[in-house]
Amino acid sequence: MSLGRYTKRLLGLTVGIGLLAILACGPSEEADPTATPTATPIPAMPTFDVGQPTPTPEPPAPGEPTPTPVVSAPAPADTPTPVPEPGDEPQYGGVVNLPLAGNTNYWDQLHGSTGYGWGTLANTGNIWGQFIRPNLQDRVTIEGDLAESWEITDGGKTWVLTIRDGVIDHDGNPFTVEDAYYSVYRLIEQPNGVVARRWGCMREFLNPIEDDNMMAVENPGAEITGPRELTLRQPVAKGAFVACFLSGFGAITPDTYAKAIDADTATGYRDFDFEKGEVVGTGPFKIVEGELGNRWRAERHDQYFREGRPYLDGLNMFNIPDGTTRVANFRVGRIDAAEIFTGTASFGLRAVHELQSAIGEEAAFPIVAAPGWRGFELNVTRPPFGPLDDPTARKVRQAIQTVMNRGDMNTLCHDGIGFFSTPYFIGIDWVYTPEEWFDNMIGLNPDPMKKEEDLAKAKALMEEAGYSDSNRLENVSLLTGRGTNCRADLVINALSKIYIDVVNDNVTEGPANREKAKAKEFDLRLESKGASFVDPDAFTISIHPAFEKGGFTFGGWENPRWVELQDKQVLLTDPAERAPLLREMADILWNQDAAWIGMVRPGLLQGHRGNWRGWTPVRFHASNYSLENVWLADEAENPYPPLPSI
Amino acid sequence: MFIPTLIGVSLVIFLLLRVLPGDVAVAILAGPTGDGIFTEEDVARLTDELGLDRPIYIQYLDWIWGLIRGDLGDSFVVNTPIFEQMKRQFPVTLQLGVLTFATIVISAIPVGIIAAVKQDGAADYFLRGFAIFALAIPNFFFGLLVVLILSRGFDWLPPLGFDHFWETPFKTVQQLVPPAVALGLSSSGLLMRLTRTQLLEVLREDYIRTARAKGLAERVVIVKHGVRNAMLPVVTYAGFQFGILFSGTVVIELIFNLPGIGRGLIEALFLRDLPTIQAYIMYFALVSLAINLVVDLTYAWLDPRIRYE
Repeated sequence: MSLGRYTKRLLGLTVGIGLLAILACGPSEEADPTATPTATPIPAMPTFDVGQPTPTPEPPAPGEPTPTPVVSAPAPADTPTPVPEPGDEPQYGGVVNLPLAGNTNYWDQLHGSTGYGWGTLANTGNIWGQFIRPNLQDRVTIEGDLAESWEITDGGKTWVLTIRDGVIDHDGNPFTVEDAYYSVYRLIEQPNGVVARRWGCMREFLNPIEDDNMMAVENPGAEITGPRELTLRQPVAKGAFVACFLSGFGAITPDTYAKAIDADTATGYRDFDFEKGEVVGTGPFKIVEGELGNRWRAERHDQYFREGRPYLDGLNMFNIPDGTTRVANFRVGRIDAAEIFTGTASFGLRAVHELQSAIGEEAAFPIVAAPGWRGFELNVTRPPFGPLDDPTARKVRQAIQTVMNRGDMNTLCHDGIGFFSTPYFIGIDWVYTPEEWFDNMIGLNPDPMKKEEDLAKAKALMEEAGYSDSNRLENVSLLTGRGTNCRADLVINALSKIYIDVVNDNVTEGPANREKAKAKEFDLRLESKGASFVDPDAFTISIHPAFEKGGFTFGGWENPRWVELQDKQVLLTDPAERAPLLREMADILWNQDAAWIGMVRPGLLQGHRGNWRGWTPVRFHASNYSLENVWLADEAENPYPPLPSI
Repeated sequence: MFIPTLIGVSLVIFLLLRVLPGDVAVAILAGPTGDGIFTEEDVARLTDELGLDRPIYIQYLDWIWGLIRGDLGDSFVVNTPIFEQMKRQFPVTLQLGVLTFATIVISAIPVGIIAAVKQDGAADYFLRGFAIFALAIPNFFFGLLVVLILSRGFDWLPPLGFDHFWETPFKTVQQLVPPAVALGLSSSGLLMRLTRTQLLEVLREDYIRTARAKGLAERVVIVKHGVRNAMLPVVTYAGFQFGILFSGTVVIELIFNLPGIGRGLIEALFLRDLPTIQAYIMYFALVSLAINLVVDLTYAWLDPRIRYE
């Protein structure tokens, strides 16, 4: 059959428009899961030291050459810290243009409820300080910020912060212990309708300050205990406290305007008003111009307490909610960073390759691990995966844990740049090395030969539980949300091999999805949670307690032995003593109860201009994004290892 | 009909938003990324603060009473007056709307007239083809194409950070022309075809034949007798378009990063900010009704036979 000339042209036009549509829409977040898996590389695992809190390095005087920053912990394997060449000395000056992804129509740091936008993360460290923060060079150890030192006493329950002397806010006023106290007071007591939603975990962890009659309680959650001393108290030591305390949501605001607003009960809560000069922080940059939801301009804070910082003259920040628009603007040079201020990568490896080849050395793309947990949880309150103590249900859960193929998921859904999601963050080698994780956790090792064995084992477990090809476990519901097709298909496909027929209950609307989860209207449920900060020393390596406390675990899992171990380990500081407890906890979570099926967290591609120096990519998406160490070199270069091929 | 329509719209919007599945307090606490940390007590407290535990008719009456007093209420999410948000966003949408409307009128009406006058000629086929193409392609796709062409073909995109025309005219023109062209061309297809069809119909009327028989110049026949009489439905549709443009062009504002009403609405929808969504939709209803009124009044000017009692 031959096509006419006009038909051919019409077809050509249609194909052309289709191709343009594909180009315009960009690549989807997740690849087609039906593609044939290739040999799955084991992702490079970050390695961390069990270090001690790092003192803030003494900065040079302005104008003096700055020594190469001392890196106090080995650089993570996936994102080496760029090391300046000899003679490559920091330069002062220049302005960086940044995108802000979120809705940002507020200024009050304890007001924000809308995620990774202006009101929170992008500003933490730039406009506002934290008490303590992740070290900007290694992104893992802890260093003092507004608190110059801290002491943990009372079995981890009490933190005594010494507030730094000589901190001057953007109004020229000294930052005092009263300012520090009032930020925590606002968070805990929420006066005059202060919302304080985003740093709510601190409210969860700390004691109250006042009772219902607004009288001071004993052992309050925050108390000024010395001229520069602020004491924070928890009722019980919690493993997740450090993660919460160091998260980027912990921006501390001078009380000058906050107190007055909170006292004005006649008008109720209102946000800080930029026009009235109420937006004041202590960070290296101060806001001088702008409009909510549109753009802001920040200039160097000349009285910043870290002398010689920042190097940049200022920052321009633009609200760009659409991911494609952000990438397009990065490409043409309107902004200097593509994705660093977002919690999710809105463009994948393919798009980054394309950008890299189009822009060349002008663009630098580190791949960053985002620690946390991603996988799916099982509803263990009812059959077929519960109740918890039912041996048949336990066999089914173990079979699922065993059969899941993390390597396939990494290759098919995360461009091969994902990181395995275990009970604890891989990289804390004193718990387990990566190889030990693979050896000790059922089904985790992605080696194809091992997966063959795992499939046989999982089938055997299911057969012991009474299931077979002729007696399949049918209509198992998998509650999924937006952008989860690849992962969902992979789960469905894997479980079909062990006699489980899964129905995808795709509820893309967030609140409706959450309602279903709360009502436990699911058998399986995809879940993803990032860790704000993973403390290599002691207190945070398990992220699950934070979930329990925060109401994120909808599957109904509980285990008295696990809680007992958790309560013990959190009080220990010696890794050698803690490691056996953590290993047993991991064993319970992964091998015995298997209520969480950890899979793979995606790597983040946090692109920036190739002339940035002094920047270590942010590992924890809810972290400190201070650009105080960033300076602009004359030449652009990509300091990161080449991107993996697709 | 103005007031009853507004009351009807308010009722429908208010009730529809409340029967949607999902808990607003949970949505706010969880945030758009869904990982906000909160407890059941936080949910209960926020529900109480927002007044969502009151009977629905009380909530409605409270809202309406606020509207009557000119108070659009406060955003659930950012806790600031919605009016303040809209005041910031409206000028952006207004400037884009005016430029887009100009693009539509300038491109659609002359092209429609030419196509009608040159009926079945090469120009007519070409222009009709273009009109159908514009009709078939949604405006957001035009927008993406414009971004694609500008960024990949010319390594250029409009400057970021919106400034008003009266502050930085040159920069604002750069920011507004690409979205206005994308929006204008995609919206002009129907108006183009409507103009052509209406004019063709009018040109077949007896009075046109009479005008020609009187020896009037063809230009006068077409412009004075033809176009003016063909314009009634065109004006109606153009007015409708005007209303849509002033209500914000959601996706285009998002793609071209313009902080206008449309982007505000989409953000409010994502955040489940009920009072903000309600206020925006009431604003859309008000604009549509006002535009309809203006269009009705324009009829009388265009066609002297029409008189309003």
